[in-house]
Amino acid sequence: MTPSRILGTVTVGAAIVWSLLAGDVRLSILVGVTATAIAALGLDVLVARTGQLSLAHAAFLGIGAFTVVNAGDRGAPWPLALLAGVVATTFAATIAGLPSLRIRGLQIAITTLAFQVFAEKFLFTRDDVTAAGRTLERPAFLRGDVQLYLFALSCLALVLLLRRRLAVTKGGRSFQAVRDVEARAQCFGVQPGPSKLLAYAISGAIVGLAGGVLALKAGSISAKDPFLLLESLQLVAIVVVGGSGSAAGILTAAVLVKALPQIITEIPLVHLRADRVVPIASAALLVFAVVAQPTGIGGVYRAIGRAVDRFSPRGRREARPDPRPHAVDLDAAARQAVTLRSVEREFQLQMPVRALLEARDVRVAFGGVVAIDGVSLEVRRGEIVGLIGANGAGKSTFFNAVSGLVPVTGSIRFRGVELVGASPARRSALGIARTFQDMGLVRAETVRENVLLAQTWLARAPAAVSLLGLGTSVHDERHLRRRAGLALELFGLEHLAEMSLGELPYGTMRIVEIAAAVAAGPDLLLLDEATAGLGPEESHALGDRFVALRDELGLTLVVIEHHVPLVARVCDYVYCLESGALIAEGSPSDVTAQPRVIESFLGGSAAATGGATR
Amino acid sequence: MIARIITGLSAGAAYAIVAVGVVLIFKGTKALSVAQGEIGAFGFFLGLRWADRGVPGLGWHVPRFATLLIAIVIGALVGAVLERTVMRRLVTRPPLDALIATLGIALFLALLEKEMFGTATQFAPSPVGEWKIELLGTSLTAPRVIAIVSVLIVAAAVWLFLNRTKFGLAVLATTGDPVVARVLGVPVNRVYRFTWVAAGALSGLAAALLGPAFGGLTPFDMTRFSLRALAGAVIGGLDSVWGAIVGCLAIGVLEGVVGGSVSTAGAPELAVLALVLATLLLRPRGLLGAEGAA
Amino acid sequence: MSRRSTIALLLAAVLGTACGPRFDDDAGGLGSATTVPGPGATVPTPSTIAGPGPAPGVTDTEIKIGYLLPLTGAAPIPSRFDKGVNAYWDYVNERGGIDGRQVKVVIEDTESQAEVGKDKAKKLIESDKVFAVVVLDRLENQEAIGRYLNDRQIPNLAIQAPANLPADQIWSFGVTIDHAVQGRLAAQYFVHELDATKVAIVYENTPTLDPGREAFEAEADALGADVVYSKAIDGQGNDFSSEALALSQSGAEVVWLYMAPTPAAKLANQADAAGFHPVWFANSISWAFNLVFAVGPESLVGARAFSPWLPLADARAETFLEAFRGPGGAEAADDDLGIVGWGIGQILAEAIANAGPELGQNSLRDALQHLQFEPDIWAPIAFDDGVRQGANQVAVLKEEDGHWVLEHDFAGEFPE
Repeated sequence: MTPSRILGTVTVGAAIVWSLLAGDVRLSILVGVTATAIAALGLDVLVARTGQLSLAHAAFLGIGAFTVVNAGDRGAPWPLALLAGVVATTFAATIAGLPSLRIRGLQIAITTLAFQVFAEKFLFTRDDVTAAGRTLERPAFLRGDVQLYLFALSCLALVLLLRRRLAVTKGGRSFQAVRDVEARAQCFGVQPGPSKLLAYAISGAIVGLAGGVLALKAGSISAKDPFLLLESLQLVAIVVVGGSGSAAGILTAAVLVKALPQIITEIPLVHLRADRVVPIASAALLVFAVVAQPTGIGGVYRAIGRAVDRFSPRGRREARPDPRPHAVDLDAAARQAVTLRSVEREFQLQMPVRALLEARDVRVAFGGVVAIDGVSLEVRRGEIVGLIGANGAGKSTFFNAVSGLVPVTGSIRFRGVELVGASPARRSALGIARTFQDMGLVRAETVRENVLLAQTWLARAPAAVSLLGLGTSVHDERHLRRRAGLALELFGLEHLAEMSLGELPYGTMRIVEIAAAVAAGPDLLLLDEATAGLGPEESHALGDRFVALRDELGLTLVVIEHHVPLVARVCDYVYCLESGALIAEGSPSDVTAQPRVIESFLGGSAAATGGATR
Repeated sequence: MIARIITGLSAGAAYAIVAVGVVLIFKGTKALSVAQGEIGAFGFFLGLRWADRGVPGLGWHVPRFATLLIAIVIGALVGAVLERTVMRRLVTRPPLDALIATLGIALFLALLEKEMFGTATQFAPSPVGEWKIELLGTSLTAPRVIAIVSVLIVAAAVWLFLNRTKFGLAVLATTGDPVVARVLGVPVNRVYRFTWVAAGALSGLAAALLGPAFGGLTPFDMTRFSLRALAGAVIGGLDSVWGAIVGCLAIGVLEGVVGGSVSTAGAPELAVLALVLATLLLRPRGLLGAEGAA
Repeated sequence: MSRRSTIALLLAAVLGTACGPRFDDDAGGLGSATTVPGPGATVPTPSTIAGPGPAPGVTDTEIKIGYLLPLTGAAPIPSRFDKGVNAYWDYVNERGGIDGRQVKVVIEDTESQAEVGKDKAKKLIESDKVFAVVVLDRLENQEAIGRYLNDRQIPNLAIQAPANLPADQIWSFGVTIDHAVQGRLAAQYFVHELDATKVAIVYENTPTLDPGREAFEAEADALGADVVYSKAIDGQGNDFSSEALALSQSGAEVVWLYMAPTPAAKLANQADAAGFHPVWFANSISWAFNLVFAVGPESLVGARAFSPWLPLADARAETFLEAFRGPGGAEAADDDLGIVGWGIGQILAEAIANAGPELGQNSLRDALQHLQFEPDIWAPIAFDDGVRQGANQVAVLKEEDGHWVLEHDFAGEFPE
């Protein structure tokens, strides 16, 4: 327990105790505030994890509350009524989220805005929807204010637990990946479409629960003011001012915005009415937060936590591990290697093929530009193949063709199976993993989470199931974590597992990416400029690692490299591309001696020195 | 029915004036501004107040037609101030941050209006006269006619400006990549300021026409209008001026026709939602938008 | 929050909930008041409670009254209203109070939201310990707050009670006219006083106005007039050009704008610009306030309205104006909102006086139930057994020079 965690727990405990001692009137207000906080946390699932802004969340709150009252009045027992509310809101939110499958962030704000206005003017003017005149009877054990408040708090705790589950399961990881690296995340097995809809569904479920709390508090809802556009905007303000992603910040913001005007009628020194000042102040605070303090109140809390941690040696140590990977003797890592390599693949009847990867007449064109023009090449099992060429020659594009990220004509066969037409996720399942020239991982997540993300295709249970911890999902998750641990050990990164990827030096980030790719258990590993940005000793060490990966883990590698000595030392076979066409192939010494290669890739001045010795 | 189409077109034209400003800002800064409505409203409210009670300190009652000019000028000023203090700092951030900031600004301005001018509706006499035109069975009041005329003039002016003047091309260049544009010597900061000033002036014009056309202006009204303008801009393709105009006209007509024929509450809103969804699902880039723009 | 602490919190909350009764003893001291009887629990009728009843907020020298008003939020009322409230009770206190007790007023803001209103009502009852409550807010908020006050058995006055006030809400009393009765009255007025044969009604799209509208249309038909146009509009809408056009084409002579002041003024303005200028009509407390003429100075010329209170220009409003303007007559009372607070105060004061020196919530409720009273600037109140919507008469106002003047004194019907 670091000082910051102790401080946090004590503060939360004190706040809860204080609120319970506040007296009945305040408790009633706080129940409403708790419902708002839960709704804001629901919105935050969308904003923090998927980067989508919904302006319809007040409408969802209304749908939830009205449904609960409706169901309760018709005779459903209260748990069933609550469930009805949650289901109805989940459904509404998923429908509202459907456009996200086709359009991007800004337009989503507008479509949700249109949905909010539609709900206000159309849905909430119908008596059958708004349960006008209907009443939900509070169950006996919730009649008192204290009991209702504790119930609201337990709903809040449930939601916090759900957020935690999101963070540690496949579903939540996918959200972030879809947000930051949508196209590439498909290579890990992430499905953007269902992932987005799941985010909306979860967000809706949480808001539905908030609506249920409101319904229980009110008994009957006659006015629809809490469900109008202004409230949607206020929820956005709470999420932004509180700091998207920070539960503590959001809770604080909810209390400030909602509870304060009701508890304090006059702001002391300034002698202004709180209920007139707070709305305008919160609007100004929203703008200020976006511009000057994007991490919001949560960021302030984190800064305080870090400052407090500096006082304890343990805290200091945890805050600053050495960002370089440890040296690992891969020869001794046979056990890990075996575990990582034992991956279940779907059963396939295969003809014995000579080449692991066979590309024939591959052509990639964007509009009028031909990026790859009729390239045929072969990668044999157990080889390290080099792919060289000047910038823009089409090397990364070729990787994208193999990964399935660009449209391709021609044939690419992996272990005899035709890849063209297969989804990127399927290609991962067949045994291909890759890294990207400019980092295909999520910088906002920790190292461990990124390695887990890369193994998404390995988790068989669907995301929703894993969220609830049903079926094989818990077992799957543990399996993935074990593999991730092994992969991190293999690359000497285990001491950095909890560090945020974005905080690491660039070179270490690249190593993490390779570790993540290896964790996915491929047969074929495509590495795109893995040594870019590394110094000479690190490059050399990485080259040794390539060889070790082949020898100890039995991987086949294709590496795109600019560093010619590395290519010469490590590769068994080299292909050279120029302007999308293959101009040379053969052993490294053969290829680097060819005049055309020298001209195109190595530059004229190197010709005098005979090429490979630079 | 024809009558409703025509009055719907006039309302749509006024929304389109706001939408042109939204598109200009989007083209220049990649930000979607929700605040355009209230920026214009603020200026117009000020003008109305000065016409009603006189300019403080001078005691001079501003004549009616001047409320339009004041709305335009104050709108431009507010736009400039916002750009310099808030929006410029957000240009390098994801567009969603800018959108949220403009939400906060819209809220702030609307609440400020409530404080300064009260929550009651403001009587908004038309700054362009009390005449009207009889057309195909309906009469269009002066503000509505001017709205239609203005939107055509504005559209032509903006198109000419963007495609035929040097500064206009600078605006287009900044759209592509501000970093590259800066390297090429495009005065990027001036482009930002210009788009916000122009959009602010346009929304002032729209407020000064919409208020009188609808018999009065209440704080938060213009936010509702700017939502329609946004929807129109999104339908048309956020980076296309003509698209925004077409989109807003479509929304105006749809609202007028559905609102007049169907008595179910909320039918126009349902229709607009359906139009927005249908357009985005069938053609995500908008009717006239360029590929991959948003 | 780590997983362990959230689970701990969850467990604590569940355990806490299960150990409920122990927490009931709180600092408030009102033991049973913390549990709210659910709907369907029998509300004891006054005859089963002996004596004048509990008297919180009442001492030998003081009576505390609570007011719930929307001072902020989506539909706030201007503060001249609570000035009228304070003006009245200051006037009463200066003259010795009621039965020697000074009246103290606590005003709380509902923020135009039902839930906040209920929370504030709870505060008034439990923290401030008020004796009775006056509620003024939108109909839907009033319904919710009124139901809560009934559950707590607090006598309360509402400026308007919903048309179908449930029979078991015996603690709530409405001091303006029932909407259905008013609808009938309006039709009579149009046909018999304004000699109209073509009438129209444009109303806000909310079911609470249905009884009034249906009564109006039925009575107009029965009296032989033509309802040439009847249309629902969105109270927050802005474009009323199609309604304006349809109205002008219908040839309506008198049009009832059954809506809030904002859409009424906007519609009238748009119709005016299109050249259509009938007699516009406002129902009681909707837009019969002088400030509406600031929004529609030209379009609303000659408008008529039903009102529960007299316009400022009437001689009977002198006492109010003097008290409201204060010593020296400094405060201008050009707008009539203060009069509402004054009038309601008078009604409540009369009922409290009738309840006698042995003051309790039961005796107050009883006094209200049998109140027959003619205030100086308010319509005559006639509550009776089973009738808790008190004012069945309206004054008719007419626009003149930008403010309302009295056209017809309080009347309960408009015969031929």
